[in-house]
Amino acid sequence: MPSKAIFITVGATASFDALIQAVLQSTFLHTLARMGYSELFIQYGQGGKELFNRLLEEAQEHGPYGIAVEAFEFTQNMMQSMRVAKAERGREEGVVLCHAGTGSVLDAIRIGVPVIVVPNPTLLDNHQVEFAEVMADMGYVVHGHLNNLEQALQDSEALRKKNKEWPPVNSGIHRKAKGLEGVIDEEMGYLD
Amino acid sequence: MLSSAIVLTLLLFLITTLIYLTLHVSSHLPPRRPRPIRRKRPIKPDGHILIVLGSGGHTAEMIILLGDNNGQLLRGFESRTWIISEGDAFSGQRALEVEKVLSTAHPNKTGSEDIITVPRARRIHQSLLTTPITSLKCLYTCLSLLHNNNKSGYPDILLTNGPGTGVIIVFALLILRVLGLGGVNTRIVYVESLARVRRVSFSGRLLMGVVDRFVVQWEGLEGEFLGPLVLDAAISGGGGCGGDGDGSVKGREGAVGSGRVRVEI
Repeated sequence: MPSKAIFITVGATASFDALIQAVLQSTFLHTLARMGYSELFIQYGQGGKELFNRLLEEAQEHGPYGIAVEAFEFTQNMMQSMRVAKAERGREEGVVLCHAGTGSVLDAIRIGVPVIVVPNPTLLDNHQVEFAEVMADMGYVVHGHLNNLEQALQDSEALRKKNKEWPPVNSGIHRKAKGLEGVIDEEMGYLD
Repeated sequence: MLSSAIVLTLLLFLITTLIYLTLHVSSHLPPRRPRPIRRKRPIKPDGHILIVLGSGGHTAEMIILLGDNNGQLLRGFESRTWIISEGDAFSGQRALEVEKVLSTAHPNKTGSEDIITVPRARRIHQSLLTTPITSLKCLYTCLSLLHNNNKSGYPDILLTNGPGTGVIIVFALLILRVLGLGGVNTRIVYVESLARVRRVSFSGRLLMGVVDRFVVQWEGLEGEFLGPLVLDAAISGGGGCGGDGDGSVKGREGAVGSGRVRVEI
């Protein structure tokens, strides 16, 4: 049976302890197992190691869940690491669960797997919630809430199904004739 | 009697100077700034674009935009200057990847690229007390790289999407303009981050009145709405930049990943 992976990232800039906690909770891990996930990859970010190790030990006591966990602090190449969620190399398509930073969200969209976006509530000037909301409204991502990630996992299966439909729902519907190139051409003074 | 005459003269002088300065400065800012000089598109690209890469999300967005359609946007420029912050290897790498896509898609590509590192305006967690000092250091570097230490001269286009370094380099350009040292023909294009859905960022608010074009990606924001450009570019493939599916990158990844532990729970 091919394995199925969830890739979790808290991002490079800020710590996101609440997300680490949420994904190592017994209910979440049980839901993962029930939905066929056998691997969990997590980038826990700077300073997240201690918390992660402690929670992992607790999770081990409450187990077994039949999930292989692989964790790391940071990687220069997030997009490459995310590919474990793609249907390749003996895996079926999984999911990416990330904070609501544009870098992570766009990377996940670019590799073409369902994305669950969880805003970090501890950030000042919190525009992450707005970003997650608008992206979910447009059908690009699932907006996950820290207190109910099980629901988000269910919703991600619906998103997966929708993404498989043809013609693709989200392909370039906003593409404006002008774009940034048009703006730059105008500023260069080009006549055509 | 005499003293009040002196005071009056001084006051008049002061007011005149202020009016002159205001007019002088505002003549270098939109909307009083002259429009770009209209000309035919050259057969061989001759322009110079300066791109500011911030870090993290800012860089990711910029690279997706510029990598779109095999670097179509950058192909119109003969030379490209990339500005990255000290210690930001991530952004430097991404700039190189875009340059690689450009030369792969166009083996006959001419022109030059230049990656310039500037000191950080403020490091993460740096005390607010020392921030003015590091900001000034960054400003000084930006002034000198725009004016002297740049083999391609002043850029035709300065493109930024809102990192701190971008704000400082824009202000550096404005200072050079006001002092009459150069940069009058450099057009500044600002693209607000895709992350800004309902409010413009702090950088955006600082730069709104001084840049030539202020592009936003969500409707309802103050600025020129062009749609979610970065999202569109990401969906259409983004030109393959950003390390996706590159052999050499996989090698590096292996090295980074070697510290990982796998645990069964």
